[in-house]
Amino acid sequence: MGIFGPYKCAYCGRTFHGFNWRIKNGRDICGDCKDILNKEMPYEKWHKMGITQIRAYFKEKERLEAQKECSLCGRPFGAADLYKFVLKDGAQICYSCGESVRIVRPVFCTEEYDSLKEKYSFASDDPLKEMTLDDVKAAQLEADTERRSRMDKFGPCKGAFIVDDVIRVPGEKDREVHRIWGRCVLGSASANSLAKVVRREKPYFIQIDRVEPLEYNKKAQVLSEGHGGALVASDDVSFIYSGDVLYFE
Amino acid sequence: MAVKRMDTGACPICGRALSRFTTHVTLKDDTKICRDCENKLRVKYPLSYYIRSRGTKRYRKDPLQELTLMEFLAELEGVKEYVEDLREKYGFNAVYQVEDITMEPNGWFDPPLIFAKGRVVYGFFDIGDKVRVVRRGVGVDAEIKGINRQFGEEQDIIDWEHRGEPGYPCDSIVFSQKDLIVAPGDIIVK
Ligand SMILES: [Zn+2]
Ligand SMILES: [Zn+2]
Ligand SMILES: [Zn+2]
Repeated sequence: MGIFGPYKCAYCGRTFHGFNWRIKNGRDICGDCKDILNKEMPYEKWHKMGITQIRAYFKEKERLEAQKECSLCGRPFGAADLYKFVLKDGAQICYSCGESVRIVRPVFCTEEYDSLKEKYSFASDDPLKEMTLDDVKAAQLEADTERRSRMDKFGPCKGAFIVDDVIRVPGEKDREVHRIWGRCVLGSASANSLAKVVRREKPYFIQIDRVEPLEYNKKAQVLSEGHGGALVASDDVSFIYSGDVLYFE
Repeated sequence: MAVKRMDTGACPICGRALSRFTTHVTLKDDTKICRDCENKLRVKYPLSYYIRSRGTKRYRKDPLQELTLMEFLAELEGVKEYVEDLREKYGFNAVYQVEDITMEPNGWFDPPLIFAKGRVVYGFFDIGDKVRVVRRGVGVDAEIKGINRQFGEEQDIIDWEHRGEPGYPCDSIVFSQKDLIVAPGDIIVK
C-alpha cells in the first residue's frame, strides 16, 4: 500500500491518487474496487490473483446470479433455498435437489492440520462439488432405492437417527444435559419433539430440546437426512446406547 | 500452504473419514474402521491392557482385531440383543464393574478420595453422574467426582479420557463422600 500516485486501477480503469492495493503482476486496485473485492473473498486470496482471474470470477458470479431456476427440477430459486449448490460442470441446483441425494452422498467430515497453529480443526468436503448434473440425476435414483429400503427397515416414521455416542454436557450444575451424537439416516430429526427408542418391544420416549448439526447450517433446528450432529436432551438418557435407533414420529 | 487436509480414507462401514481421532481399529483383514463403528461393538468385545513381565509399558489386547470385516458386520447385527440381555441380567441402565480400590486422604475436612478401578460393562458414565454403588443387591447413592482413563498403548504419549464408555477399562472412577464404602466386586450403576 502506498500513498502516492497516480495509479491506474486495473479493475475499473480509472486513474487515482492516494492509497493503492496490489494484485498479481504489480498491478494496482483503487479503494472502491478493493471494497468490492473484500466483499467477495479475503484479501489474502484476491491480492494473489491476476486481473484476468478477477474478471473471470465476476463473470462467473454474474452467470450464476442470472440463473433463476434450478437446473434439475426447474423450480425458481427462492428464500427456502438455504444454499444453491454449484456443481462441477457449473450447473446450479436448488437446496432440496442437492439434499435429496445426501442419503447416499453425505458430507465428508474430516480434519485439517494447521502447521502454523499446530492444531487440528474440523473440515468438510461436499461430494456435490465433484458431481455433474448427470451424476446428481443418477444419484437421485440411487437415493430413492436406498430410501425405500430404509423405509422398509425402520417402518413408518418421520425420521430415524442412529446413535454413536452419548456425552454429558459439562457445566450444567442442577440438571443433566446430554448430547446424543449420531446421524440422521432417514427423513429428519427435529428439536422440540419426542424421540422414541424401543427396548424389547417396549417404547421409551425422550424429549429433544435442541439440535446441533455438525456439518453446515449449524443453527438449523432440524437434522436432515444424511447429516450428522447432536440431539440435546435434558431427560434421563442412561438407557440410550451406541447403535440405538431413535425414531421421530 | 500451512493447512494439510487429513487424507486417511473412509470407514468401509459408515463412510465417515478415518481421521486422527477416529482411526482406531485395524481388523484382522487389515480393514481400518472408524471409532464410531468400533464403539458399537466394543461392548461385546471389551478392550483390555496388560503389562509384560518385568515391564512397565502397557500393551493393548483388542479382541476386535481378531475379526474380519465380514465377521464384524455379522456381529453388529446381534449386538443390540446382547445389550438387552445385559440389561435383563443386571436390571440397570448402565453398569461399571469395580475390580480394585485405592484410597487417598483428601485434606482435613473432606472425606477420603476413593479410586475405583474397573471396567464399564455397558452404558455411559460421566463426571457428575448420580449413581448407586451396589453390593449384594443393596445400593447406596453416590456422585461421580472424577473419571480417569488412559488410552494409548506402549508409546510414551498416553492421553486421558474422562468418561466411561462401554467395553473400556477405567483406571478410576473417583468418589469422595462421607461413610461411602466401595469394594472390589461392587457394581456402580445408573
Ligand atoms: Zn477501481
Ligand atoms: Zn431443484
Ligand atoms: Zn464407521
